[in-house]
Amino acid sequence: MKLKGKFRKRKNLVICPICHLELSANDVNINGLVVCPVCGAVIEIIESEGQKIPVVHNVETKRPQPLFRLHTIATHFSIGLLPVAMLAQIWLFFARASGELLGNLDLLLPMCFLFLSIVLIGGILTFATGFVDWKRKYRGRNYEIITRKIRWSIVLFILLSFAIFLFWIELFGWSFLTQIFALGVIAKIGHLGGFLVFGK
Amino acid sequence: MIDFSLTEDQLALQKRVREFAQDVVAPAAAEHDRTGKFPYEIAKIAWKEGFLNSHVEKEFGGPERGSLSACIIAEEISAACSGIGIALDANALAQGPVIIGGNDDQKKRFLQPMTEKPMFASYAVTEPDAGSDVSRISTTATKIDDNTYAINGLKWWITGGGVASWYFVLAKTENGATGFIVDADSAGIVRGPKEENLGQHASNTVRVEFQDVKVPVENRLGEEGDGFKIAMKTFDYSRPLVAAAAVGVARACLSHARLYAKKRTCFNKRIISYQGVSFKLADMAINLDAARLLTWRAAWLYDNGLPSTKESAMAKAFAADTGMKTAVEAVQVLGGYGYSMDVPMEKLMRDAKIFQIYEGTSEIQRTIIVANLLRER
Ligand SMILES: Cc1cc2nc3c(=O)[nH]c(=O)nc-3n(C[C@H](O)[C@H](O)[C@H](O)COP(=O)(O)OP(=O)(O)OC[C@H]3O[C@@H](n4cnc5c(N)ncnc54)[C@H](O)[C@@H]3O)c2cc1C
Ligand SMILES: [Zn+2]
Repeated sequence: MKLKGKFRKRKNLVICPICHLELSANDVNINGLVVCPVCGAVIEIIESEGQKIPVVHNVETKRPQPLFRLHTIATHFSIGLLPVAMLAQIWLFFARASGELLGNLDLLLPMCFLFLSIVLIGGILTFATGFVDWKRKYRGRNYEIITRKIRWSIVLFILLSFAIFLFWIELFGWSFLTQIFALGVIAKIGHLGGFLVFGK
Repeated sequence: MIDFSLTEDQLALQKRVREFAQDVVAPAAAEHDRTGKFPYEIAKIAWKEGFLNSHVEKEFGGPERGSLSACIIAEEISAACSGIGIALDANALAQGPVIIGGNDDQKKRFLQPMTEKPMFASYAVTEPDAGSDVSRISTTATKIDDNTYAINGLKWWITGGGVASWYFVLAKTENGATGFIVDADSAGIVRGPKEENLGQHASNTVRVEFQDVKVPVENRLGEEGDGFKIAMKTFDYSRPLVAAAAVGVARACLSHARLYAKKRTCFNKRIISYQGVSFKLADMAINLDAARLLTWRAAWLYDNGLPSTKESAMAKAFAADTGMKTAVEAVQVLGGYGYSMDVPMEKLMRDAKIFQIYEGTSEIQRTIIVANLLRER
């Protein structure tokens, strides 16, 4: 049967019986096994009457841990800085609109620009450290959840670069709008990342 | 001549339903079980594919399938999710009395629309005080003028009651129990909230209260006093359907347990190599086949216009008991994983239980069988 949307997605869903992470049946490796990225359960997925039944064969322990938690640090630093930059822009907006001196505007503008640039650099660092973690901790295995994270990260990179560009050419309003979208994408990536930390 | 094979049409139907069940129903089962959401979207697809309204005559837009074909559909869908299966099949139970006791005008007004767009109907017989003993019902239909009855009473455990467009209602008149078709939009109908049940969460079970509900005489099935006969005759055709659904559950249990046992290792061997496990599977297989054969025989008798009350009861009782027994054993084969809500096994055990209760409990089926045995010379 031709399946669309959630019907298609649901068909491939398997839940790790140990940590409850939603895995995809497409995550199986050549041996027909999938190793849960969160708890390390080595699972064989059997298909029975349209259902996916996980059979746990083993648990992969002693996985290499991430390097100095660089990925986490880079992530949270960028996530924290973007709202700060955005708040500063709101401040700027009101300061300009009211004509009142609410701070040193000459300083605030480049500061916002700097913050946004740091967010972008932090984002790139997040991506790079995430890649290293994936190679080490997850042994470079294919996981739909990681693929989705990567896709969203690319979207984020484009949005952030665009926001900085718009800021540079002084289209502040448009830049701000783009940053709002970027914030949404960050939330999405963080949400997916959360699954990889806590399971579901 | 005995023939155990399905016709080409039935095989093609089975293939089509299986694909629908495994692609659409099975992946949705866990979500509906968790949320209790009524499977509207799935019902729409099933309706479009022509899997609903099996018994409705061609004259009124239906496929006029035999009981055996309807059983094939029920088994396939219930093997994927019997909660969704029953949500869809409640229609058949409600339509039964109209097909058996209704006139052409009633069929045109109530069955035909169901073939024109996805719609639901319910069979409202049980009351808080009258389950197995239907003769105890206290809902009344009083004639208020030549053309109208007023129905008063409380119906309980009505499958699909919250989504139905009309109800088959059994109520007492001066001349005994009588069947009525009651439009769900009628003034005076109060539908209760969805009941929280052990299993089959996708199915919508509610209480329905009738407070002075006006029903035109044209909606009466047959004559006053015909109701009990019509309601019971419906079971001859609905019980094989329910039995087939239970067979579907048993089949899923066996399939899950068999495949799992072939893969899972304990003490350096696949667990299927232990007789303690494999004999369970053998027993499941024996009971599954026996249940299916009993079910198909009852359906075949019905399709050929032969008496089938005893055989329907036998099929329903055996298939329901098999469903439950198989589910319990299948959970055992999966061990702790069988007990986990993340693995689609424990749901089957919760779902299976109801088959021993609705459409006449397993005990009531035995009383029917005994009554028939006593009558035989
Ligand atoms: C989820 C669900 C959906 C349902 N859907 C519908 C529906 O759509 N329409 C509808 O009309 N009804 C429906 N029912 C009602 C169902 O058919 C009744 O629950 C069933 O017939 C049993 O009736 P009861 O619950 O009143 O139990 P009781 O009749 O009180 O029986 C209690 C126990 O006593 C046993 N018992 C009773 N009499 C005898 C006897 N003579 N010999 C031996 N044992 C006996 C029974 O087997 C049972 O174990 C539904 C019920 C459920 C739970
Ligand atoms: Zn896990």
